[in-house]
Amino acid sequence: MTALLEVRDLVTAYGKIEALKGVNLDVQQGSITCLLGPNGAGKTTLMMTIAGILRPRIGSIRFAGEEIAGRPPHAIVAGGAALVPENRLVFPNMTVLDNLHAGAYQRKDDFASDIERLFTRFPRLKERSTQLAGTLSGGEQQMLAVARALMSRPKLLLMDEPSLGLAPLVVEEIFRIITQLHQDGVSIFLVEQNAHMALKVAQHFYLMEQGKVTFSGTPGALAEDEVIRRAYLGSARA
Amino acid sequence: MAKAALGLILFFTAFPLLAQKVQGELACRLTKTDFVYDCMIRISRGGQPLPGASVTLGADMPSMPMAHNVKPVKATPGKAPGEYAAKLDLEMPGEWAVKLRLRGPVNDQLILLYEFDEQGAQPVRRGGRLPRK
Amino acid sequence: MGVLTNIGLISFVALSAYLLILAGEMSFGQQGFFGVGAYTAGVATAMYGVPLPIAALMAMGAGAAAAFLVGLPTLRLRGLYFAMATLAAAEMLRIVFELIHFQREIDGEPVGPDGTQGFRGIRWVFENGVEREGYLAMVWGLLFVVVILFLIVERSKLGATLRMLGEDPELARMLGIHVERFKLGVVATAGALAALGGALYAHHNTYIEPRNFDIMLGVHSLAYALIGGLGTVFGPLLGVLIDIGALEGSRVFHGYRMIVFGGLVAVLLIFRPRGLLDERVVHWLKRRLA
Repeated sequence: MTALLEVRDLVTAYGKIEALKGVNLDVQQGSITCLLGPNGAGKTTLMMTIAGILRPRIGSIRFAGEEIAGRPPHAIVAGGAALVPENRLVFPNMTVLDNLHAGAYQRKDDFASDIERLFTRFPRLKERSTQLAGTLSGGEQQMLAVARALMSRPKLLLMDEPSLGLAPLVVEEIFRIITQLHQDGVSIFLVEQNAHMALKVAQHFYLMEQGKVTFSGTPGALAEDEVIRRAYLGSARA
Repeated sequence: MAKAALGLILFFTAFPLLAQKVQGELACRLTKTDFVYDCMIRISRGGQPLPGASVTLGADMPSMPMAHNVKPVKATPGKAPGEYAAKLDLEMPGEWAVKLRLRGPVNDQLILLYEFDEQGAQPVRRGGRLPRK
Repeated sequence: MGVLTNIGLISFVALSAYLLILAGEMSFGQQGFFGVGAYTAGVATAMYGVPLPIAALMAMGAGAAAAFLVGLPTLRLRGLYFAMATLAAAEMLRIVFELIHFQREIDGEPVGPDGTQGFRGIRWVFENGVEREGYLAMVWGLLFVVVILFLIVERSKLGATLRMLGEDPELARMLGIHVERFKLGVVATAGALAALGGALYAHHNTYIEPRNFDIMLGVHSLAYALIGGLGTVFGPLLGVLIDIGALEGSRVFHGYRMIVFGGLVAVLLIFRPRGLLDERVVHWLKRRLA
């Protein structure tokens, strides 16, 4: 496997406060890579920096062999990375269908067949395609956000806490979708607090604390790490 | 001298409307009803009174363009030639741009800036001089 | 008839403000570009004998250019700061109008902008024998074209992009929209639209002065979009109709109209923050009609 995304010595700061203090990590082609960490560790900052919303101060981000650090978001979307942001899921006053079209903003080709395919994968969205996105439930909005990101046919899907605030059953559904996408060949970089669920799907884990990566390893290594287990998996063994 | 005079005469006959500027003047008095003014309008062309025109009055507040729609009123011919009378129903005191729409001997529109108060209306002075009519 | 012409004219500014709100920006400065259009077209027809249609195009160009230049620095600002910066820009434009003394002798009379004394004799309409009815038809014809363009755009990808920017510019950016470039385009288009209204206004009135283009006009045009509704191009038109048509036209409230209008805006902003014809109503109507 080759690394689709390589992050090296990445520093992103808000004014004088460094949220990322030299982050190094890789996302392998065709993998699900999961980033764990407490609130305020800098996970979302990292996602925003990769997506081009925030400009790094120093460091390098190589994506599909190209340096993308500091590039504007539209260039990064064009390069094949799509972000499913945290909390900012949908355009509430636009219909479900219009939200999907929004995801294909940069595409010049015909994407009608993509919508058909997504509707088979997300039948709920098809039922609600003419509803305003703001009237969907939290889980449906999350699915819409994922479907919208897929509309750009990304090589890499960046997902920022997709299970946040969702009911357990819905979380399971989201993770089922993540697995399916992975089987379809999409590489996924996932930020998650729900380590239990992430352990079931991801092939590689990173732990981030206070702007630095403090652990890197396989699900097995993660489950065996005493400290992590206590912090993220509770006392029960995974 | 005679040549110049001839030239002038030719010029005026050739461009009578353009050369003879139409001017207007207002004299207004507040009636017993608030904001309703009795107005006498004097219209002249090249200094001579201009009778027989059909005159319609409108008004707009320069600081609130298009926001006030004073219903256009048709003026009736007054006692002397070139004089016309109309009742102007304004919405509030203050500066108004009175719009005179003229038809008949001339087809034109005059804008007269007047300040309307409890007594009547005075032409607006800006920077010490009267705006041209 | 005067009322109808006024409704038509002010609709251009209201639509210009509406276009910006769609893209998520509140401008208190569209009256400035309305003024740029009025002066540009006035100078062109009255001083240089340019036919009105060409003068109107020139006005639109000038309005777009002015708006673009104002947009370059101000679009970095957000929300209230953008609103204040646009107001400041419009006031600066108004002061520029006050300073312009640029006249030409035409038939022995000086014609052209004369600072606070105003700009008289924009008489193209009279010189070309256009009657009031004809001019009214012209104003409404152009407004009709603009509304049709809005309807086409609203159904297109361009319209969807506009709404995306308005609803959530950050999310739009994440989806790959070049937000800054797009907004500059919107600002310039809105400037051109306001300028077209200004050009028509100048020729309807034959006289313009700097005070025509002060904050009153800007606040009203913004309010029309907000009370009428942001869900459709007919929203701002409804707003104009409510204020100029119903409140002013009926004259029931006489001098108290401004108070009634202000109250109406306040009540609506509380109960219907996106206006009477907001996205939800429009969506419901569309589904009903479909």
